[in-house]
This record gives sequence, C-alpha cells and structure tokens, in this order.
Amino acid sequence: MVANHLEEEESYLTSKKGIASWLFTLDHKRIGIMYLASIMFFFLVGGLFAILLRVELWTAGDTIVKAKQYNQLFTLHGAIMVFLVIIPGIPASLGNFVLPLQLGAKDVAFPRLNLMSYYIYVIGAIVALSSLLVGAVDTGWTFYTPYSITTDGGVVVMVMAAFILGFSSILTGVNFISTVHKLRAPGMTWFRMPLFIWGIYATAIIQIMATPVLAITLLLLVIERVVKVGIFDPQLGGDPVLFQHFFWFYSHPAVYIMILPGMAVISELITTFSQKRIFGYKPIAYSSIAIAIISFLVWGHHMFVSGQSELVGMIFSALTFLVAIPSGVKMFNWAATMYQGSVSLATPMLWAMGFFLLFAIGGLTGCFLGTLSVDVHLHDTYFVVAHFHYVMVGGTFMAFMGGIFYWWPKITGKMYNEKMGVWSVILVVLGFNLTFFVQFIMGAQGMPRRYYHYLDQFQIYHQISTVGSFLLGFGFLFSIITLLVSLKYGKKAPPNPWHAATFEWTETASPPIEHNFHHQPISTKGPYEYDQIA
Amino acid sequence: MVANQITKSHFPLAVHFANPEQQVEAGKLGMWLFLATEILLFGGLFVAYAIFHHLHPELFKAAHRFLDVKLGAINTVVLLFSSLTVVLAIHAAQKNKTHLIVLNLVITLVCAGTFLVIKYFEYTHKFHAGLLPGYFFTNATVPSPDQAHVFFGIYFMMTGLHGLHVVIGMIVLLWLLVRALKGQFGEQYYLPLELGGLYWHLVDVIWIFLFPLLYLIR
Amino acid sequence: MDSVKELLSMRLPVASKLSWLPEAASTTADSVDWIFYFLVWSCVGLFLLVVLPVAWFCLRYRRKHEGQKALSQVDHNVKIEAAWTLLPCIYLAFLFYWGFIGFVDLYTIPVEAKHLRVIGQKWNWTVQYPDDDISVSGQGAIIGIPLGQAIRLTLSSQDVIHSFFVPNFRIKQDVVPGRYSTLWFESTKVGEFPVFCTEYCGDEHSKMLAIIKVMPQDEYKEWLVKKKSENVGLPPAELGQKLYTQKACNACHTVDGTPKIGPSFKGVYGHMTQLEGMSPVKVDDGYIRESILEPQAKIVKGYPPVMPTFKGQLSESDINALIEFIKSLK
Repeated sequence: MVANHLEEEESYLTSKKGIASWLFTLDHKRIGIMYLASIMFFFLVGGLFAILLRVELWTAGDTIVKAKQYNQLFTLHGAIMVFLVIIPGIPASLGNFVLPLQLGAKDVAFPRLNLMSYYIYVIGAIVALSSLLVGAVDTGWTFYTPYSITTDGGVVVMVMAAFILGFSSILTGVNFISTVHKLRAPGMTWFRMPLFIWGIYATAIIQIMATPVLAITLLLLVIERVVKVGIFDPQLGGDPVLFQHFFWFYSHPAVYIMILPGMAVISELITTFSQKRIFGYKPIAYSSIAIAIISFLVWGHHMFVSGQSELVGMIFSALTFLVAIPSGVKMFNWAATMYQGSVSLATPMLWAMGFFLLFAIGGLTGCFLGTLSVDVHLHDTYFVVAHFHYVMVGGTFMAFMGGIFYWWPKITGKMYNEKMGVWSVILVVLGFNLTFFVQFIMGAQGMPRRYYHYLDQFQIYHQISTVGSFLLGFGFLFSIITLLVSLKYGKKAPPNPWHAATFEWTETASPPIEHNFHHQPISTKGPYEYDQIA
Repeated sequence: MVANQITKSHFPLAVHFANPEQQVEAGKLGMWLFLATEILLFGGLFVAYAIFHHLHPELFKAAHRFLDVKLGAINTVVLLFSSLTVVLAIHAAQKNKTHLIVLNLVITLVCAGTFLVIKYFEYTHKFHAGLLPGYFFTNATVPSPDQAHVFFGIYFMMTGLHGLHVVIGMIVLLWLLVRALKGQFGEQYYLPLELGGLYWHLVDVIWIFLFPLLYLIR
Repeated sequence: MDSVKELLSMRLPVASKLSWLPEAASTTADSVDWIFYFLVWSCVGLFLLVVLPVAWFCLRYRRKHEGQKALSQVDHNVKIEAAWTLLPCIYLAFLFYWGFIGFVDLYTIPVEAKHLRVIGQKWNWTVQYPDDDISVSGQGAIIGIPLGQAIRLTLSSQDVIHSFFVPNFRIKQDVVPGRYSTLWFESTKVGEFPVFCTEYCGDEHSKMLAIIKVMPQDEYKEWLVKKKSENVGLPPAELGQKLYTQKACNACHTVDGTPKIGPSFKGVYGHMTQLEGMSPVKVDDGYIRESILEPQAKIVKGYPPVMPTFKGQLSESDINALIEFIKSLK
C-alpha cells in the first residue's frame, strides 16, 4: 500500500533539482548523503596515507620517504582518520539519514543547525588540509606537549581544524538529543525505540560532554604555542602531563563516540537478518548508556607509564575493566539473538559477522592493555596499534560498511550486486587480519610504534603487514565500487528488501519522499516484531 | 522552511513539528544542551585555574592585587542588571508590548557595550604595565616574576574567552532587536527571545564565577 | 649512516622463534610473562566461546528459503544473562588484581639498589654513574650493568617527553621534562639488551636507541676502569671527535659538508657565517662556545632554532676538545 502511494510523489532525491538544492538543503537525508560522500572521500585520502606508510616500512631504513615525511604521514593519517572519518562517521552520515526515519519524524529538530554542522565540518576539513601549505604537522594526532609547542610546521592550523571539527560534532550531538527527546512518533516510548537510536543517543551524550573539553584543550595549546602562556610548557613552569589528562579526558570518550554507533548498527543488522527479536533489548540499551558514563572515567589508562601514582593507576585499571562488561554483554546478546533465528548471510550480515570476529579480538586484546603490569610492557608498541585498529577499523568501520550496505537500498533506491558485496567483505576481512594480526606479535616482541627505522628482525612482520594493507585497501575500494556500480546498473529496490521491522522500511518507499512519510507513523509495538509485519 | 509570514499574533510553526509546544520545547532543550557544553568549555579553564592555584597559592594571591577590583565589581553589577533587562524584554513580549521589548533590548546592549569598554580599559592598563602572558610578561614589580606570567596567562584566557562570548551575545541581541523592531514577537511567539535570553544569562553566570576567582582571591 | 645500519642489525634477544615475548632477563619479567600468557590462552578460550556459537548458529539456523520464519522469538533469559554479566566480572577482577600486584613490584625499588641517572635528549640517551664518576651517551651507547645487582634509574628529560623501554626487562617509563621519574630492574642474564625510546619525539625518534650490556661483576669492574681511563691523555681533537658522537652532535651536524638539521662542521672554523636577523659573524672559539651553551643566541641562516643547550653536560675541557675537533675539519 505504501509503495502505491509513492508512485505518485517524487522521492527526496528527485523532488528538487540543481546543485543549489543540495548545497542549501535542510533535508536530513540529503545532508546525510553529503556527509557520507565527504567522509568517504577523506577515508580514501587517509587510506592512501596508510598505504604510503606501509610501503615505507617495507625496509628498515629509507624506502620511499625520509623520516620527517614519514612522521608527517602518520600524523596526517591519524588526524584525518580520527577527526574527519571515524568521529563524524556513522552518526553524521547514517545517523542523519536514518534517525528521523526510525523515529517517525519529518526531520531532525533543528534542520538549519544540521546544515550548519555540515559546513563547519567542511570548513574544518579545509583548514586541516591547509596545514599542508604552512608545513605538514609531525606531532602525531595526539599533539603531545611539549613536542607540539616546539616543532615547526602548521601545528596551530591543524589544531584549529580539530577545534572547528569539534564544534560540528557538538552541534550534531545537541541536534540528535533534542530530536530523540522531542520528535518521537506518537506511541514510541523510549523502550520502543530501535537500538540504533539508543546507540546514537548515547554517542550524542558523549559528544556534547567531552568535546567542549577537547575544544578548550586545543585552544590552550594554540595559545601556548603562539603566546607562550606557560600552562603546558615545562620551561615556563607549566605541566606537559596536564595536557595528556585534558586530551584523554576527551579522547578516551571519543573512542566510544567512534564505537557506540558501530555497535548500534550491528544491533539492527543482527536482529533483521535473523528475523528474530533482539535478545536482551533493555540490557543492550542500558549498556550503551553505561559505556557512555564509564567512558569518562578511564582516561588515565593511556598514562600508566607517564609517572602518575600507583594508586591512580590502580583506579583507572579497575575502571577500565569495568567498561569491558557492557561491551561483553552486547556481544553475548547479539550471539543469542541468532539462536533459533532465520539467519540470512546477505552482505550486510556478513559485515556484521566480520565485525563480530574482529571486534572480539579487539576487545579481548584490550584486556591485555588494562592489566597494569602487562600494559607497562605493551604501551606505545605495535600491540597498541593493532588493538585500536581492530576496534576502530575491525569494529567501527566494519559496522559502518555494514550499515551502508544495509541502508543503501533505502538511501538510493537501488540494489547492489550481492556477489560483489560478499567478495568485498571477504577481501576486507582477509586483508585486515593479514595487516594487523602480525602487529600484535611485533608489539609484544617490543617493536615501538611511530618508528621509521626498526631492527632488522622485525622486517618479516612489517612486510607481511604491508602485503596485507594492499589487500585491505583493495577490499575497501572494491566495496565502494560495488556501491557506485549499483547506482547505474542496480535493480530498483523494493520498500523493504530485508523484511525489516523499523519505520524506515515499513512506512515509506525506497527512497523516501521529501518529508519522509505520507502519514504520521504510529508506534504500537516494539521495534523488532518480525511476526507482525504486513 | 518557515511557511508563514511572521507576525506577533502568529506562531511560525516549522513543517517538521506537530504543534507549537513541540517546537518550543525542542528549542529550549537544544539551548539548554548547548549551554551545558559552554559550561564544560569553561570547565576546562576552571580546572586549569584550580591546578595552578593549588601549585602556586602565594603567587596567585600576590598577582591578583594587580587587577582592579573596583572595575571588576562595576562590571559585575552591569552584567547582572543586563540579565534583568533581558527578562523584562521577554516579559514585555508576553504582554504584547513591542516598544518595551525594543527598549529593554537596547538597554541590555548598552550594558554589554559598557562591560566591554571597561574591559578594554583594564586590558590596556595591563598591556602598558607589561602584565601579560608568557614571555610577553615584562613587569618586574610583581613578586616572583618568573612565575607570575602563569596567572596572567590564565587571567587573559578566561576573561578573553568570556569577552568573546559577550561579543557573540551582543550579535544575538542585535538580531533579536531587528526582529523585535519588525514586530515579530508577541504573546504567541517569543521563543527566540527566550533562547537568546538563556544564552545571555549564561554569559552573566560565568562572569559571576570569574569575578571572585580572579579578583577576590583570599 | 653506517652507525645506523649497525644499530638496526642489533638483535633483540628472543626466547624462541615461536614465543610472543622477547627473552625475559630481569627479576620482574617472569611474573609479567605469566600474566601475559594467561591472558593469551584465556582470551583464545573466550574468543572461541563467543565465535563458535555464532558460527554454529549461522549454519544451523541458515535461512533455506525466502520468507522462512524464525523458530522462536525468545528474547530474554534471566539466568543466562546474569551469568554472562557476572562471570566476566570475576575474570576481570582476577586480571585486575594480578596486574596490579605485578605493577606494584615494578615500582617497589629495593633499598640496596645502585643509582644511575638517565637523561633523555633528542635523540639519544645519556647515562651517568654518580658513584663511579663516568657517563655514557650517544645513539647506540653501551650502558654497562653488573649482573644480579638491583639498579635504580632516575630519569629526566632535556627537551620533550621521551620514554625509556627495555623489552627484555618488561620495563617502561615516560621521561618528562621538568620532573624526575624512577624505574628499577635487576638483570638475570648476561647479554646485550636494546633500549628504545617509545614516546614519539621527532625525526630521529626511531634511532634513539641504546644498549644495556649486562656483565658478570668482575667483567663489569674492568669495564668501569676502562671507561674511566678512556678519555685520559687523548689529544683534544680526538677527544672532541669522540664527544661528537657520544653527545650525538652527529644527529644534526655532519662533518662532510652536507647540511642536516643544523649546518655541517666541515670548514666552518675561521670563516664568516650568515645569521638569521643579525650581521654575519666569524666562527671562532667564542662563537662555538656560545653556540654549545646558548644555542638560541645566534641562529645560522636557513636552519631551524631547535638545538638544545649542553650547559652542565660538558666540562671546560670537553668544550675545548670540541672546538679543537671542529678546527681540525678543514
């Protein structure tokens, strides 16, 4: 019935035409697409830097660049991937597109603010890239003082970029929280909301609570560099470790800004492709909030060897283990959801299974780093590099890809080639493990991170990792090609190809009309009642 | 987005809201969330202040004598008064008295300007005396001058960031004034006035914390 | 460049080809390794515990035909949920306790420990032996350590944050400018063990290596004697050449005329040099002395002002020796 309606009204993609209709759009769906395109662009740029890094590490000395350029490359790779890709990632693109649809709303609460967030993101991105003109930054994405106050290059420009991007993130967070509170469809109580919304909501809480602290920290860093205030500079009586406290007070919660939306997507995928109600809805919802809260209390675990007292180390270690519990609860609940389900291994579900595999490894290796005495050995080695890539790429990015493949028919109205989709997942999972698993071994053996030269005995691991990175890069390119090809050759998508139960599938066509729904959807049941879909 | 001509007898309901109440509530919630992030922004500076005050209590006591308590106190009163006039402007809107909205907004703007002028005199005085952050610090009359620059670093950071908020607040007030002059606010619709007022109260509240922390150290 | 090649071909002793960790060579290492391997095996177990059921569900409940319904819609089971929330708590509490105990050991310094001072500087380590009045420094510096003796290190930094990491001893400590940090170890094996800098500190971060050479007591005594007499009676220019690598002047200044981070030393003595924002100056004894002790006073045109001061690290005769060395590079 819904589909018939839709033949009469044009979709949001075609209802208005011309570039201006995109650039000045207030439609959350179009803004979501603009974010998606920008984020994917920067993902490719950051990925290119990653490949260059891996090529450089093929040999222990000079391979293609000098030490200075290598340091600039890993800084750019980190800064772009963190601030321009993963932090905005799922919330700004998929969140923008899906959140109002799942809530049964016509838009986010503040559409103009939403567009403004996007342009702040664009400005931040331009400022970040313009740091290259002043001289590329070589501080690492963490900007540790006093190195960042003494080195040359465009540190101020890059830091300002992160500052600006922070505001984009804050405004998106404010927008989403207000939307979830005030724009839920009639009948949609908190516990009838899809878990994707719970995840994005928890993320938004962290965004608005942690990002301002980052903003002020970065501002202080700029002032320190320009006017020498003496807050972080030991030569002027400042405390360089204070910067680390400030920085990680944001940046550890930021890790959960990155992973929570990924978990949120996985919750949707597993239940839909098992055609079964999610196991433990409330524990999953609450665990998102629990993670959001605990994430503010663990920043010190980045600093176990910075000279903080043993007592402080002990407290942070204990709190760090505490955060493992809600993450574990989610994993078990997802597994249980598949029990007695009707499991389809379509492409989005395969991404979810890839997530499951890689995130399990990423999470478990986190236990190594939370264990104080073991962390002393592993801190700042490749073990840490491997761990956070397993969580950030193996976790968040796998979920991001899964989400894109899941909502692609809704976003574009086209189905992609299933075989190509399956191959994308296989290539990425293989390439990823080849690239990063050896880094666990290297790190445990003592290979420090951010090293341009290394002992000859590590070369074999580095070379395996480099080969893997090519496979991984190809896998991601292949996924993107799969999607782009579908735009031209893909079959027309039905309104609900996955037989999903949330509003964006059951109440509107693929792609939706400009104002999302013909009739205000009304929620009368939980979000995952697959038995009761018409 | 806004479908209707805005007049004081008409609520300009945006298409994605079901009714005016929903729009008003969403607007207020959004503003409160934004204010929370602002407080956290300043929170970082308060933490830095606390740490350095703890490290050098004597220094803070000595250096703060170089701030002018009288000017600081006048500024506090000026800002408090301007918060009152913002409330009066909202009150006038509820009573449909456009000229009173305009009058109160103008007074608020004048107060904000006064605050900035006084701040300007304070700043220039410190510039001349060399009471500046970091290596620009040249004043030799402060006890332990090799450390005192940290206090002035924090002073300029805190008051500077606050000053920036005053300027942004004035832009918001000006925009409200223009809309008030066009007669867009009345008992039906005064949401922007309320939101702008909330923001202005925040600017005021932050100053109420800054004043004793910087000027009245005991 | 050759010295770098040598450094990189240095071997980090590995227990065996198949082990995760390098050879353990300190008294605290064994307990760390124990927890590490416990973690490895318990994590393998936990990994299988979550992944195998999922793999099984994928096969067992695979959708065979379009529109196939789930076998049930069961969505909670209080007992199972309580189990998977509480059992991990026990496991994690255990890990926390064990890790904490090991951590305390790492930082509980025996009173009888011999004291050494470590100074991190871009991009080399200097180790001073206060009891024996010697010091070693430079990239690839050999730090002699007596076997079976507890050693306490007091670490400080000249410039930015560094981190002192000895994989074989399982110890690591950040070295922060403006404060002292401490670390201790007691070696259990004779051998050469690399020291890495693990806090990113700039261009040659990855060359900031040193070697801890653990020797039996008598060999160590001989080493000390040799170290003490090493620089006695050397002609100044030769001593200067030694200091040139020991103090890591070579990290930034070449002797063959190629510019690096700083200008080359070749043929500069007695000639005029262009300065940033000042009139040219002649390179003489006074100028070189000032450049070593107050590097920011005059900056050579075209180079960044990044040199740290060596004030307090060089004796009068060291400075003279360096001047003589530079003089000799015609």
